[in-house]
Amino acid sequence: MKQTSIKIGLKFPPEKANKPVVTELVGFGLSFNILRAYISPGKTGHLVLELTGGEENVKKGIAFLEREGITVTVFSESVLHYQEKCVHCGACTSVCPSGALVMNPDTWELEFSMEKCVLCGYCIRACPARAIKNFEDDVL
Amino acid sequence: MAKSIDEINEKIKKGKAVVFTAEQAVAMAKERGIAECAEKIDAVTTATFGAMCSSGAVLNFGHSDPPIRMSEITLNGVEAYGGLAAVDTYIGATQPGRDTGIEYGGAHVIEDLIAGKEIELEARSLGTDCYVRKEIKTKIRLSDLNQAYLFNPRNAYQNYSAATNTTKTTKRTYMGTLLPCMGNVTYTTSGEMSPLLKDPKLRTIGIGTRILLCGGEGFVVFEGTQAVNKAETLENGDKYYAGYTLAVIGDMKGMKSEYIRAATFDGYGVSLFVGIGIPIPVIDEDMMADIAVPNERLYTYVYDYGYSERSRKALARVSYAQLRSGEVEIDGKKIRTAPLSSVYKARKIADELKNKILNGEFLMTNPAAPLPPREKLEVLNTERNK
Repeated sequence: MKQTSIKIGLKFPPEKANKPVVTELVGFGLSFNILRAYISPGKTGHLVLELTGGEENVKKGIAFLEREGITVTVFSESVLHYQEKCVHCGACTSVCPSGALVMNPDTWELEFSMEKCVLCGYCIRACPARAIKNFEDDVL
Repeated sequence: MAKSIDEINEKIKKGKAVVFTAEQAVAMAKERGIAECAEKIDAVTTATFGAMCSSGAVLNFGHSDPPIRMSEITLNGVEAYGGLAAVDTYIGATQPGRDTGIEYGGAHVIEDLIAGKEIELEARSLGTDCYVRKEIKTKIRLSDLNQAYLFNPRNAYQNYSAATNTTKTTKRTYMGTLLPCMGNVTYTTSGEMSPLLKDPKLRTIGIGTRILLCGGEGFVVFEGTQAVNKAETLENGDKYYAGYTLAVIGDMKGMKSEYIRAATFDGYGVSLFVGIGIPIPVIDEDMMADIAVPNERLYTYVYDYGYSERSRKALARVSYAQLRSGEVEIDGKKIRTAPLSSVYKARKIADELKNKILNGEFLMTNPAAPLPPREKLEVLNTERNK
């Protein structure tokens, strides 16, 4: 099976926040790396994961999470970066710690790589044109 | 061989002018030399697309019936100046919204107007015998207004300082987010495309010069606020120029959304990305020599924005080629760099202006008056009250 690695945001309703759900993903042959987590008893829980495994297993894993009542957002370049709003100024590249946001040295267009992105969110507030999705408010 | 602006305009009208963007002219000069370029090229287009806080719009709403002498005015909840005539106002780009703060301010209103969006106008007045109405609440669009023009008191900085931060805390500034311990360097001038770096002695850009302002026709109307001529000859013989600015004006009805954008600098405030294109007629070899200076030989100083004292010292001098390379060295430390003005947009503006000139739609201007030289920048005296 073709292997894939994606980054997802999970939103747990308060009643699910204390239930061990994510660990069940192992049963689908998936491994996960927790990038960010905000969990408090009785409150909506938020988790950002890097999910790695076979393509089909990843799909099954996400379907499982959704069946459990968790809202799943699959992050991608087009989900996080509003091309139409971006003016390619480069302000975001000054704070990006992972090299996911860089200026193309020939065209001076902003290039965004989901693969390198660690979802730290620093770019959200560094972008003067607000061209990066505020996933911390919307998803986390 | 010297050429007059009128001669260049004749060639433009006949469709025979040779027009290059500043970047193209720099590249050609490297290959062919100044003399040949001065001979062949008639005009060069320069451009910048950066955040320019000192910007705003003059608007005239037209009179309602019964009429009102507006004194307290808001547009989409952003305060506009009520100290002009009855239905005139000025909305400044950096004005934060009453409820929206820096996420939606004057710059956003200006951007929305140019995009053709409907804007809510609210105004109050004490009422007078001739203006009886005391309040008004309605919606306006750019096309409804009698006049709507950007009048930006300070734009197109010749050469702005680069910024870093030596302190141990992150600083959120108009130069972007500056990471602690010199974690980054930001810079904002378009280098070899910057209009006033290509005509550093203000030989062709003057009062009345026709420009491209946010994609529409505009004009240089005066020296910009805080304009000062800083010039320095460096050890290697290269020149360092900085400090001059332009006041510009242009009809908003001719502007394009892609060349203007509201900006929110986190922890600082609202600003406005303004796109400006200025053509430079190649009047002689000296003019071409200034135009031909490449990023490798254009410099700026890096200042420590960790401290807000005016007397802060420059940490290093760097070239625009170094800044553009993505890394500069200060005190033996390699620091990554990031631009804050869009080279991508500046190129689009320079190209668009070039095409307008080639198509005969845009002529060079003989300035009505030269821009005055300014030797010194005054500071605000705070001692007189003691």
